Amino acid sequence: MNRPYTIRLTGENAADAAHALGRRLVELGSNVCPPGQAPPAGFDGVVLLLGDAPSDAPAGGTVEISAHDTPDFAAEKILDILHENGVISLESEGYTPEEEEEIRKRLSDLGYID
Amino acid sequence: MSRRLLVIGLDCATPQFIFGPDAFELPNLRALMRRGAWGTLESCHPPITVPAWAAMLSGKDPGTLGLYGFRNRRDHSYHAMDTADGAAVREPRVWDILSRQGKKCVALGVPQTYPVRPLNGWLVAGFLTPNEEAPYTYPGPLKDELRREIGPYMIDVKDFRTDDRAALLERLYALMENRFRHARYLLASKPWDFFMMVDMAIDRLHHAFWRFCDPAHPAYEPGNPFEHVFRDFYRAVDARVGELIAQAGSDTAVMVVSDHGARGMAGGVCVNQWLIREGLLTLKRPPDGRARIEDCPIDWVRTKAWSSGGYYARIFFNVEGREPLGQIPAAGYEAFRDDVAARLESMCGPDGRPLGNRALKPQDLYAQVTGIAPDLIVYWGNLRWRSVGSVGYDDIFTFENDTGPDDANHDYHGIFILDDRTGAGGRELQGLALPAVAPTMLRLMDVPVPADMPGQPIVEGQT
Repeated sequence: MNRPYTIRLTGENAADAAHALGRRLVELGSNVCPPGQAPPAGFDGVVLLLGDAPSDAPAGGTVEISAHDTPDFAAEKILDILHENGVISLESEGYTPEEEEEIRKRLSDLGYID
Repeated sequence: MSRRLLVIGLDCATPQFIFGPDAFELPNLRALMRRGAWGTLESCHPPITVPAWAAMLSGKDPGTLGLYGFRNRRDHSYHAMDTADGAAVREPRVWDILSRQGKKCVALGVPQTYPVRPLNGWLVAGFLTPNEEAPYTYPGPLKDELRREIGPYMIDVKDFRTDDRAALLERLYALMENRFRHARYLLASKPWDFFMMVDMAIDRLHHAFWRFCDPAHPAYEPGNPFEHVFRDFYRAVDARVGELIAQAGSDTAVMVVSDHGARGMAGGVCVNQWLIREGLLTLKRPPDGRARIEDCPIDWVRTKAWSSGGYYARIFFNVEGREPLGQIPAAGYEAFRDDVAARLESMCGPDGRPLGNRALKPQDLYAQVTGIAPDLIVYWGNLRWRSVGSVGYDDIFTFENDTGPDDANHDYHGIFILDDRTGAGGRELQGLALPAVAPTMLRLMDVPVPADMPGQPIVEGQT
């Protein structure tokens, strides 16, 4: 990504979801511009906007946050959108080789494998 | 219909200790049965923790899931195996479906939930978590919260293979108490619609103590100091179950389930030793003592079959055009499979009488066969014997266990108890099977059952 990707969150829990989303994006190694801040020049990360602004249609669209979702899960649903749009990559973190061996030994000790 | 559902999973909880005439005195489970409905729950093939919990919670059979055990072949090469972690479960489980419907979920200790995946709620991974340093919660900060509020999370029992049974028993109680302590905290502190926990301690108890508790076990000694540990442990679990039910409130539906049962184990069948004797498996040189089959130099151009062991056997064929050095002509595959199955099923035990083996084809068991399935799944002595994959034994049968004492094998039936709080209960249900569980959970939560879940929910009239 070489230019900002802007996404707007609306709904009662949008602020909490934006906070959770920002934290997850940082964990995933993406640059984030939180709501209420202007992205610096040359910024190429994800810009988060909050609240209704009918005249402003960001490239990433507007996401209505469900009141039934926890902020973390709402953030994950947005991450899925960002992944589908090629903005981020969501790779599953499996076992390291050392962990794999640790688990294999545990399963052997427990009798599950022989 | 209830809007909240509490599911208490007791891995390996066994019908004869809960339902039958010899059932232990378990007042809380009994009260659930009186109010609701219960029955033995037929597990999947194989009746093993992995894939059984995933099959139960996705409503899909192991073939559809592509999960045939804890370790599965990655491809048709000879050695590549993957552990069936949470990422290997590619079908949505109940909490995935409920999350998308806006229901708040808690999942605690359910097998195959590491690495953690997001849900609309809170998740603490099960015993396939590699270690305490791993990120085993969702969301991540939950881990620190639990440590701060409760203390360390016990992933599983340590030093399971030991002759010091008294110390092991203490650790099993600690494991069970730790799991229920986490459950009580999460139950009280999170706003949930669906709450599920799985405790593994009963499974470990059965494997470690069966010979002490079952008069029918060949190694049973009357009056031994562990004679009543099953009764006492089940009663302790029952008390914890009662606390959770009370905490959840009288308007919460409660389900208690297990993924499979247990039975006494007579010994082990050395499956690769048998394949060698039958001329189906050739090693380039004999092992220096006992050795895992994957550590042995297999002469693949003189080998037609090899096997992984455990509580059952998975036999893999070396097929021309499929495996790198395949020896069984593809056109003769089915005839060869029928022949090996017949030989396995006619095997006699050490006493010269038929052992009662079952040799099953995955294609006969599952709606679909995905991933790399074994060519045959074998239950020795109808699960009375375990499967020893190691080689270097003098005989096909062994009464030793290289990894330490183990007295129990898995059995085909677990338990199902449901109090849906409609007050129409008190009856035993017949013919329950794993595929019914996920649709029943969704029905209780007023969420549509996906069309690709083949099981039928247990309808209100039945409970």
